[in-house]
Amino acid sequence: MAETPDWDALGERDEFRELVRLRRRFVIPAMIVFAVWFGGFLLLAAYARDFMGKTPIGDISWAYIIALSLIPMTWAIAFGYVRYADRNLTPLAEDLALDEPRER
Amino acid sequence: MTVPLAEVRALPVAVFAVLLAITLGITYWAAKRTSDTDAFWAAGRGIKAPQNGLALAGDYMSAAAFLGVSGLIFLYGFDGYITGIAALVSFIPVLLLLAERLRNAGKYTMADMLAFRLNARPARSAAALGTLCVVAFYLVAQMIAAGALIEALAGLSFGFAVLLTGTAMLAYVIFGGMIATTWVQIVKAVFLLGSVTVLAVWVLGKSGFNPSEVFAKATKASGEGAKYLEPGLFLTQPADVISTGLAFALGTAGLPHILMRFFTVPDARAARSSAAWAVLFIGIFYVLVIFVGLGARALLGPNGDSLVGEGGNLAAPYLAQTLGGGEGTAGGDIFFAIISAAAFATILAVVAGLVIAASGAVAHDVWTNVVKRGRSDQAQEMRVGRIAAVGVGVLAMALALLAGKEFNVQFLVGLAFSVAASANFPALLLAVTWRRFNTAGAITGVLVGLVSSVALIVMSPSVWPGPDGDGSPFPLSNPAIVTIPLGFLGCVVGTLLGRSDDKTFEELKVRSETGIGAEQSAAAH
Repeated sequence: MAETPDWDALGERDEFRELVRLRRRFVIPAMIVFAVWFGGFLLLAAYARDFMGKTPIGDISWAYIIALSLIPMTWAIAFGYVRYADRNLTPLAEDLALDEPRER
Repeated sequence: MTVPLAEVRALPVAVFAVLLAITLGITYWAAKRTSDTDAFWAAGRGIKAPQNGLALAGDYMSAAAFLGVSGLIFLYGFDGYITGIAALVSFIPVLLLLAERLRNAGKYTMADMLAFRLNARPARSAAALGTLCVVAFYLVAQMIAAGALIEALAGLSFGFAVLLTGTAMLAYVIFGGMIATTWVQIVKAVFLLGSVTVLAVWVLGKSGFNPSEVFAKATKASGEGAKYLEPGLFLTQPADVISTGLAFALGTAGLPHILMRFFTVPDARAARSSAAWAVLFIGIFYVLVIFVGLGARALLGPNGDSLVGEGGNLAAPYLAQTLGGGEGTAGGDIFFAIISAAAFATILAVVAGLVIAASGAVAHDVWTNVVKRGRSDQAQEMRVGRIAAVGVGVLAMALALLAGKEFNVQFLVGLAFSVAASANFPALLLAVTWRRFNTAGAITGVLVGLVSSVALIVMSPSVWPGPDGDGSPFPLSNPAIVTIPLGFLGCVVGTLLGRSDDKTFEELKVRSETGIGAEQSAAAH
């Protein structure tokens, strides 16, 4: 069994700080989009029933249109994050891991 | 109540038997590969990302999601859809905040992540308590629902149906562990997605593939007019809409059997992409399920309300019967049997996932790391895991039989999601994001979330004694809008009052971000 990595030293490294910064750059805005979109939907469903019952497209009401709009939003965030993380985060994490002795 | 043999429906029973044979075959194959604890609880960490995505989607597409959501849409229109769409978006916090970190820093259970940086034994005990409560409430609810459904669909008696479901679930878990549980879940997810697609496309076809036409016909048949298309028929109080939405959007992120899936893939990258695959499948499912619910309303006719039963759970199978040609026709009977079997498979796969999560919490958290302080070998941990699975399974069967099919399971489901959102989710989130968070905070948060959820559900209208819960002290059917903030508050207050034990936040942070020192998959050994 190899020696335990020096976690504090790793946490101080520029590559690690960059990894944390890049992850936050995606995660924080994405969480805000999620919170506003989904929260807005819940507020409308709770307090704007008349509006939600209006049917702008044939007989399909705003309630269903807004609820369904959450599906492509979720897809976009999920696949956007996977693409972003594969390109920007995994290489950094792998570089950091390569410098460290394997634990087992 | 025993149902006379004459009411047993041959065709659904035959399809159920075929399903049982297939899933037990999978279990036999998986049993030969279940040689150590990594295989038993984490499927050897060898599940590929799209496979795990299907299995995750399978855990999400429970009987409540398929029969429950389509039934509620049938009965109440739009309000039935809110829990479904909230459960879908819950994957955003799971993916962005938890999936990779769990895979990088954990071994088998969500408690692993708390134990890393906190005082291990108390923190693990708190997380195991949260896990076991969620599993217990959810499992008993599923078993009762399973018994009632199988009785209605196949004509087997409630008691026999509960025993059959429980026995199959225990066989998968005890012999095939996580490998069998995962593959049963994958097979079920494909079967269910296929069935729902056929149902929805058929419904659309009946309306000339014009979605608007389905909405128009359902609205006309509902007798509610425009109200059928807007919120308010089921969740009549505005605050209940928000509370229920939050419980499902954050609670699903704290369900132990879902989080456990992220340990079954080789690395964090696969955990991430499996969550995206899951979102893809679940999103498709929730587009289709609208047309199942509305289609049932549009096509079942005036008898529909009496056919589908309380809660509307039988809307999907009876829609299938009607589409296939109606009762007594070969097409109607076959399609009814197939959709019933999809529901049966769904229940079996989900309860197996719940039992394996409970067995991990008992054996890996409580036994090995709390009682034995980490001094337990693999063989012993697995033996305890199997005993725990039998214990939890038998207890759930007994409680389901005692409660009986008339028991209102809705409050048990609400309780499971409320505890998951208010007890498990705050502690998990703060453990990976807040440097000051400590053991006292985790314990206080879990206990406050748990106790307040149970107390407020007991005080809610659906449980409080008396006609229609008149005079119930708490007005909402789901307490999450109060208990989630209370759970976070408990974490914060406990942290500020407790002693700092933060020695390893840096370690958890580096490990969870980079995957250094993460558990290796069997293939990489």
